[in-house]
Amino acid sequence: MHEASPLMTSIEDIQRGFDAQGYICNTQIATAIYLAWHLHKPILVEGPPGVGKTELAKTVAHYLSLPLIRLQCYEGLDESKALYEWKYGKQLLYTQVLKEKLGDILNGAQGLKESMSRLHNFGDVFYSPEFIEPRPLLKAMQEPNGSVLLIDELDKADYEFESLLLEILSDYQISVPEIGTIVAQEKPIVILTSNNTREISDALKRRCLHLYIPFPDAALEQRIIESRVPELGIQLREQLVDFIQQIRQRDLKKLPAVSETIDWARTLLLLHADTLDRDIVRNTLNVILKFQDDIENIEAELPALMAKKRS
Amino acid sequence: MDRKLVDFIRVLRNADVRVSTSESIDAMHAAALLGYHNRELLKQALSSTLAKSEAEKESFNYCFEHFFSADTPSLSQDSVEQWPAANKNDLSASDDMPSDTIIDNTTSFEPDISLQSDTSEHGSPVEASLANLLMANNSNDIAIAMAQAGEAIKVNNMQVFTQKGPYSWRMLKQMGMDELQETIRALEQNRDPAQHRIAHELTERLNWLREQVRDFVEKKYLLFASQSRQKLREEVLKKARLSSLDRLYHRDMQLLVKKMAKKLASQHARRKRVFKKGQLNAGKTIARNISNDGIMFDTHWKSKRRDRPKVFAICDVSGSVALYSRFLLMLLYSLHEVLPKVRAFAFSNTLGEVSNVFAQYSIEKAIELVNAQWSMGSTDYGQAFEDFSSLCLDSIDNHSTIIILGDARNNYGDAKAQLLKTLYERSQRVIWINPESKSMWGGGDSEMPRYAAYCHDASSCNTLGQLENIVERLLRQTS
Repeated sequence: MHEASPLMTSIEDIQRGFDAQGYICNTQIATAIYLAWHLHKPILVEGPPGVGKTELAKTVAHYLSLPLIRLQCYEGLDESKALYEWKYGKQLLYTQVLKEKLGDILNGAQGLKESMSRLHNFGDVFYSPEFIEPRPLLKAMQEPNGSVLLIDELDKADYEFESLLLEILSDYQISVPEIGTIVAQEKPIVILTSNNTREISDALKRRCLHLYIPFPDAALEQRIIESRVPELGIQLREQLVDFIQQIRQRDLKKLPAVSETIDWARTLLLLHADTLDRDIVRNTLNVILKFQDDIENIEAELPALMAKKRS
Repeated sequence: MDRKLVDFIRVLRNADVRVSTSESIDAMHAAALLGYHNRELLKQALSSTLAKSEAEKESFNYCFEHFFSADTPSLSQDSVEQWPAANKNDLSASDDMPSDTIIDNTTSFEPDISLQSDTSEHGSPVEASLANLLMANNSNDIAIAMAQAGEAIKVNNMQVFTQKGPYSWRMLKQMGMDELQETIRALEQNRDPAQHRIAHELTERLNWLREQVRDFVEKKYLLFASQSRQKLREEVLKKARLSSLDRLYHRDMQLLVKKMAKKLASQHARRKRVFKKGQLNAGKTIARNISNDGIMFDTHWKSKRRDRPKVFAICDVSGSVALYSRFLLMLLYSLHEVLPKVRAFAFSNTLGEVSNVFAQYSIEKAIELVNAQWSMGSTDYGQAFEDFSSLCLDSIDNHSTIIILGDARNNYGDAKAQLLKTLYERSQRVIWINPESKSMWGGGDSEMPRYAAYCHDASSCNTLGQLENIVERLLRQTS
């Protein structure tokens, strides 16, 4: 289904398709997805939190009707959580059950040597694909129709984990020592996200396309709000986006992201506000700002911010 | 077009964007996939394949705009602004000519005349080509000619700014300036006023072209060469003796030290690891004990590996050595990502811990403060070791590395090498960095040979490059 998919023939198609999903993106994002699909390359998406990095993966999966397999990274994530694990319980159970069979197998064997060679014939039954418990990465390789693999917040994982990913990202395969190499049946689309809390290694970056999603500009943000909160009036939407854009120019601990803008739009809708006045803003600031310091800062500047908007 | 892309990648590398071979291949695939017709799309495609961080994206945007514009438009703006006046002249002049030729671009008409007259006089159409090109006033053609000429003389190989002049000249020559001048001279000798006017016109346009070529070369220089000059300077600075450096370069040096630290940190980041301890690894335990009938006999624990070297840096901050200490401390403290436990001590005669100063202030400020507080008095290594031992002999264990920076010139005082011996025995490593070259060790009041006996590593170090090597060794071996 790769290449041939009609959904991926042009960048405009992708953009339009994403629009229909409610994910408004610029050509940059669409281009990256297009390239990732045609060049079989993973995409490393970076950007401030809340600009829709994870959402992008969800949208791609939905758009292509592929299963989304998500691996949330955290400190201490290791291969038994990310790649595969052996089903120890099952192995244990089977050994207990099969112990009785051992006598049958060895029945009539002449001496220790023959018994051993008979046992050898069974091979490593306990380390076979039946006993493997696939974790997200292996699962993505095994999807028959391909999948979208989201490796979320990679920067939270340890440095070693990145090395673990290298084989998967460049060759779409996983080596399991006991079994051999498992190659992806259909190469998944891999999207890695990072919040830039630490630098991702060069080796990994080299294997990925790189997409940086910044905060959207006013026009794009308006379209996003329009698509996500269509009930909101035009005038209020403009005011709201304007205000957010202004706040982002300030020196704050945490800048409001798109997700906060959307939340705020929903809040205003809930409060039946039809225009942005000082009281409403003051009462709902905690939706967009997450630190008390920030809230106090902006509160003090509210008159100036609101005045500028009106002019 | 692939060659163009390779050139562009060279420009990017010049601008400190790391591009590997596999990435260039990706870029070519991407470009082939999307084509070169849509500039914006090409930019995005290349950006996602070549520039892999925010900083790199910025450099990329700059390079892209300049690289792909240096070749194409650039002329149009000037020619539009500059030429209307000329056109008007031409227009009034061409009134004498058959009126049916007055189309929107009158100038394109005139060159034909000049060309004809040229060919009739010299009999060679090639010579007139530049004249023709200039009179045609088609900025695109001129731009293409310029790009071709630039290619022919390999303008991209420019290295230093003094080459700008020669390259411009060679480029003009390549484009046929000599022939043009010949033509102009010939036209001037002609008695026909119309020819004179054309000659005048051509001279003016040639001057204009000179300017354009100069701009073109300047742009190429900025793209291809200016960065390599910066690199050259950094190379020189790395190798220069620290003591002989002008204060002027200190700022550059600081940047360089930061860069070095970043490099070292990223190379060694993986060595710093802390695992959970005391947790049973259930999976592995069961797996291991299958052979024991499933009885948990051989337990497997989640391991913990600590990999944090403790570094004690003892710096002589008196007079001549102060500068070296400055850079060592700067480097060590810029490495806090991989060396979280650096304790710094400064002395000239008495020794004191200065770690707190570094914790509180920026590196530059801290170094100033340290120098102000500790650099008085004549050097006394014996006293310094005594102070150091009483301060933190207890916290030195076999994971500690002690770095001593000093010239070991003890003013004929008591060396107290025994103290260093104790440190040597207790610690993992004692590294002595001496800014004096080895031949000077032991001469005069230098106690270096006696001290060196109790060091795991005593080396002479007087350039930033050597300093980097020493810290690199430190990071390698402490793990």
